[in-house]
Amino acid sequence: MTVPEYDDVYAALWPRLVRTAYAVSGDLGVAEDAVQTAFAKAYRSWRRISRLHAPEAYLRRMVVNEVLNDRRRARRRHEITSPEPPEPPDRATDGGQDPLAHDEMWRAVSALPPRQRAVLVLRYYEDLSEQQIADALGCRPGTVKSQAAAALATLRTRMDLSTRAREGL
Amino acid sequence: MDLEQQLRETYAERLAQIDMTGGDVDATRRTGARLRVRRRVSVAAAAVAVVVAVGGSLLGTGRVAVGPSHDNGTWRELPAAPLTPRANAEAVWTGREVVVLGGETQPCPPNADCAVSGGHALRDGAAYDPATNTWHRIARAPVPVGPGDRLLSAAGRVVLRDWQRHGSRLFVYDPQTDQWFEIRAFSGSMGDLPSAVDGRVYGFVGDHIAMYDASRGLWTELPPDPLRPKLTQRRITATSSGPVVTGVPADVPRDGSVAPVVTADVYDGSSWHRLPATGQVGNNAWFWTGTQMVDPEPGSLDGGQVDGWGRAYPVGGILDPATGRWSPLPAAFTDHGGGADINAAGGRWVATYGQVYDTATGRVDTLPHLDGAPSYGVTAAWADGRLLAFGGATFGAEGTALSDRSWLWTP
Repeated sequence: MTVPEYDDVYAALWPRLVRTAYAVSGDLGVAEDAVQTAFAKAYRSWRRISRLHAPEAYLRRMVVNEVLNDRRRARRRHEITSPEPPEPPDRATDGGQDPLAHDEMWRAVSALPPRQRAVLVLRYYEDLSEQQIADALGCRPGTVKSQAAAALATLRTRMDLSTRAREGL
Repeated sequence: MDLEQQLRETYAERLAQIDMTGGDVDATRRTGARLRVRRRVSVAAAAVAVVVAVGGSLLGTGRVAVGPSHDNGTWRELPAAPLTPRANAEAVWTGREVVVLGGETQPCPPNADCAVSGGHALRDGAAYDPATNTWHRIARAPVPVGPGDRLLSAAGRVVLRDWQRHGSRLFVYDPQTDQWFEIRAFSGSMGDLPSAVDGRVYGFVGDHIAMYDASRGLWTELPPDPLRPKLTQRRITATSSGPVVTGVPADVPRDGSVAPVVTADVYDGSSWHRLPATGQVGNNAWFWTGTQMVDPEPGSLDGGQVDGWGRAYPVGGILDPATGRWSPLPAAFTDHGGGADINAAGGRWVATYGQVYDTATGRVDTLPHLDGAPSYGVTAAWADGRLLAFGGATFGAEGTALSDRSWLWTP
C-alpha cells in the first residue's frame, strides 16, 4: 500500500476543504483556521491517518467538526463581515461587501442552522451519500435525512417568499 | 430548475469564487509538531498529578497561595514622561505598554460651573513600557483627546472614540507603526464601546449591535436581540461568553414603584438568551475581568421612604455571563475607602473610592496616598496587575497647578 505524503495531501485537499468549511461557517477566516487546525491535528497522527482507506473523509470530518464544535467560530455563523460599518437599520444596505451575500440562494442557505448547512454542503457540494454524511457528522443516516428535509423545506419557503416579494405579490 | 439542482449550481459557482490563501503547509507541520510535544507534556503532567494525588505530601510543604501582599503595595515614581503637565488625560494598556493620550491644561475644578471641557484638550501622547521602565513619545492623535473621549485596547491597538467633538468618529493607533488611521464609523450615534479580550469592539447601532474586529479591520452586525420584554437603559459589555447587554426590562414601571433590577441578555454566537435577573439596580460601569463582569459601584438603594421597595438593593455587583450567577460586591468595598482618589479598572483589579479591589480574591484594601501627587484629574490604567498614575491638577488660591509626574503601584 502506498502511503500518501502529508504535503501532497495538504496541497490536494486544502482548497476543497476550505470551501466546504466556508459553506458551513460563513466566514473565510474561520474556514481557513478550521482546515489549518484539522491538518495540524492530523499531523500528530499522520502515520495512522495516511494508512486509512479514505484519509480525505477523515480530514473532512475533522474540518466539519472543527467548525461545528468551536463555539467562537459558531458565534460568527449568522454574521456577514464587511470592511464597512453597518448602517443603522433604516439605512441598511443589503449584504455589506460580501459579493456572495447578494445571491438569494446563498443568503437563504446562510440563514440555516449550522448542522443543516453542513448536511447540504456535504450532499450538494461534496456529493456524499447519506451514510457518508452521517459518518462525517457522527450521526445516524435518519438524522441526515430529516435535517436535509427540514433544510430544503425552509429554503423552498424562503425562496418562494423572496420571489413573491420581488414580483410585488 | 428544481431546488436541489439550484443548490448544486449555487455551491459550485459561488464556492469557486472564493479568494482563499493556498495554506501554509510548513506552518501547519510546525503546529502539528508542537501539538505532539504538548500531548507528551500533558501525559507527563497527568502522571505527576497522579503521583501527587497518591503521595499526598508535596502540596503540604512550603507552598502558599499566590495573592496580593498584605502591605497594601508600594508606589514608586517613574522616570519623567515626555509630556507637558496636564490633567484628565486618557490611558489604556495595550498588553505591552500604557498609552497616555491628550488631557487638559485648563481643567474644571470640582463643583465649579464648567462641567464641560472648555476646549483646551491636547493631542499628544506617550507610552510607558513597564518591562524597560521607559517612556517614549507616540504620534499625535488626529483629534484632541479630553474628558468624554474614550480609549480602548483591541488586538494590541488603541481605539479612540472621539465622542465630544465629532460625534462618533473612530480612530485606531497602531503601536507597531506609530501611526493613526481613521476607521469609518457608523453614521448614527454610537453608544458604549467596551472592548473584548480578543480584540473585538462592540457598539450599538440602533437596536442592533455592531462589532469591529480590530485585527482584521472588519465590521460585523449581530442579529438583533429578539427577547421580550426589551431591555431599556442598555449597556453593552464584551465578554468571553459574547457581548452582554444589560438593562432594565421595559415592563418595569418607570415611576419608581418597583426596583429597576437589572437583567442581562447574552449573544452566545448563534442566538440570544436571557440570564436570570441580577440583584442590583445600577447599570453604570460594568467591566470584564477576564472571568466575570463587575460593576464596581458600592452602596445600595431602597426606593426612598415613600413607595419604598421594601428592602435595599445593591447598586453594583458581579455577574458571570456563562452561568448567569450574580453576586453582590464584597461588603468591605465602600464609597469611602479613604485612600488615593484614583480610578481605573483592568484585568482583575479595580481602583476607585480610595480602595483597590481584587475581583479574583474579593480582597479590598485602601489604596495608599501618593505623596505630593495631585488630588484631581489623575490619569490611571492597570498594566498587567500594576497601576500607573500620571499627571493631575491641584486647585489652590493661587490658581491651578498641573503635574507631569507619574507613578506605578504594585499590589
